[in-house]
Amino acid sequence: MNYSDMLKRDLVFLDVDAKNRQDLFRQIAAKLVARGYVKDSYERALNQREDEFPTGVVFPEISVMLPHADPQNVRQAFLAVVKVQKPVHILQMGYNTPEDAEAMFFLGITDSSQQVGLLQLFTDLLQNKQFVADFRRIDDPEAMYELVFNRINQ
Amino acid sequence: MAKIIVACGSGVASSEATVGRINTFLEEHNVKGVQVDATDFKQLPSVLPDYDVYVWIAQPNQEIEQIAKDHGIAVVNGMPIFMNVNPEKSYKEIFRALKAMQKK
Repeated sequence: MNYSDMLKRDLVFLDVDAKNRQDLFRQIAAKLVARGYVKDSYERALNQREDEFPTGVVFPEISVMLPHADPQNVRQAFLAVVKVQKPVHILQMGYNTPEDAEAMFFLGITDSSQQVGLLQLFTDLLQNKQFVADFRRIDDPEAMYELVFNRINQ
Repeated sequence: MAKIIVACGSGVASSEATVGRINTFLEEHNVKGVQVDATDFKQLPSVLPDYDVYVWIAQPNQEIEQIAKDHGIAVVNGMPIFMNVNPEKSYKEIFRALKAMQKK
């Protein structure tokens, strides 16, 4: 599978003003529902999953979050790229310890065996100093799409 | 055959990605005859006793820890492997568990 197919021009949101994690999920879920990527059940499933099993990951270069719901809530595979105005307080995957996340990669997974390679690729990318510097600097959605597209298409 | 189980919340994303990394590592080190599977937390209590090594990327609860203890299953932190940030310690623990099995 070519993972760049999962990246969508209409799913790059770089100036999200979120009060907290629930508010962030509400805003992103509404956009995903409106664009037909997920079912109405998605927001609830996303929150439930995050409460039980948090998805925050603190890399040496950047603190992020990889929210995902079970495949039955997803209509079409996607990767949504999100930057928030102020870090969102969440918990870390595996350790359940606090984290302030500045970026989110919402994964819409429909077929895990086909699409998890993207997660491996992303965990490597988030340790790349140049990528993280570019990612932080870019505030234009189209430029961000190009940056991520070129990296996952390599 | 040695069996490793990786468990995350949903069994669809982080655990599958971690299985991929472990398989790559085993191939690179020419380790054969090891089966690596992904599962979710719901399935874990029923399948865990069949495995030799349990790699967690979601915090194990008491029930899970007790099952691992009762069955002598090695418990390894999988987050460094998933993140690919300083994973050497976790890989060493997997290796050690696999070697200990060979002696049995």
